[in-house]
Amino acid sequence: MLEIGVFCFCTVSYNYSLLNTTKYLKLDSRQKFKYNLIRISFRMKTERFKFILKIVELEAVLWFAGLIYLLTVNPYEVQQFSFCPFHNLGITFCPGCGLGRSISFIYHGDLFHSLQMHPLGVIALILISIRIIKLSNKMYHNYHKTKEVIYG
Amino acid sequence: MANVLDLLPEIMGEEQMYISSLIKNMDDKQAFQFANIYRTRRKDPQTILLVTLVGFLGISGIQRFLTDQIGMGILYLLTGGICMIGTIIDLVNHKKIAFEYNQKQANQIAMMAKNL
Repeated sequence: MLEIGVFCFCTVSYNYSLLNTTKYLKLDSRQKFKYNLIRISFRMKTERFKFILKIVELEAVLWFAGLIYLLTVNPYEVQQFSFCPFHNLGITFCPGCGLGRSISFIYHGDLFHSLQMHPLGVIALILISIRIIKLSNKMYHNYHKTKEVIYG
Repeated sequence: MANVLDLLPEIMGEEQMYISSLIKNMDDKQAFQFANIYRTRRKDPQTILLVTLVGFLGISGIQRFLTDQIGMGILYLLTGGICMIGTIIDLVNHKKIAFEYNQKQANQIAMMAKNL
């Protein structure tokens, strides 16, 4: 993750430095053409990035990532790592703790343990999946609409 | 031709673009009526932000009730904003939540205003 970030930063800053140097250098027409090509491609890249940012719903991505993450967890093992800030602070009372393991038990088909872990697990899974479907539906419509607005 | 900046100066950004595209084909009277109804039904993103911040004090999920997502609201309320993580997501995402609700209301009102 960090490597990808560093790579993106380097490419962006490199392209940006090229953009600024063209103002001060004396160039012949061929070199100017080359620099202009770089400039245009850079601008198109940033515009595409903005376009993607406009369409993608952060909420849908995070819910989906959460549900996928719970597929990789084994609920029968002893819990080692928790996202919950209360749990990490050492407070034992938290109304939301056990929800992840509860959903994970449903994936394994163990409804009894799921309800024991957290009674809202089944409802949470249904509600979150409905929300993901609604948001992705909206994303699909927004994609066509914004494409019309930007590219005509 | 109705102008958004005259009728609804308080809205901005994405919402402004959306409303201007809705108002474009209305005449002046219809647009005025649309603006009046829309102003009363609209939810301000700032209200959503403040109400989301209440979630850190114990009662979370009010923003979901306000924007007509009763199911998610109950889930947030009973699980403490899904261990605070849901509340933090909503905190980052408050503008989109408000815009989603406003978009729905604007579509309804535009249908009404065209029949008037």
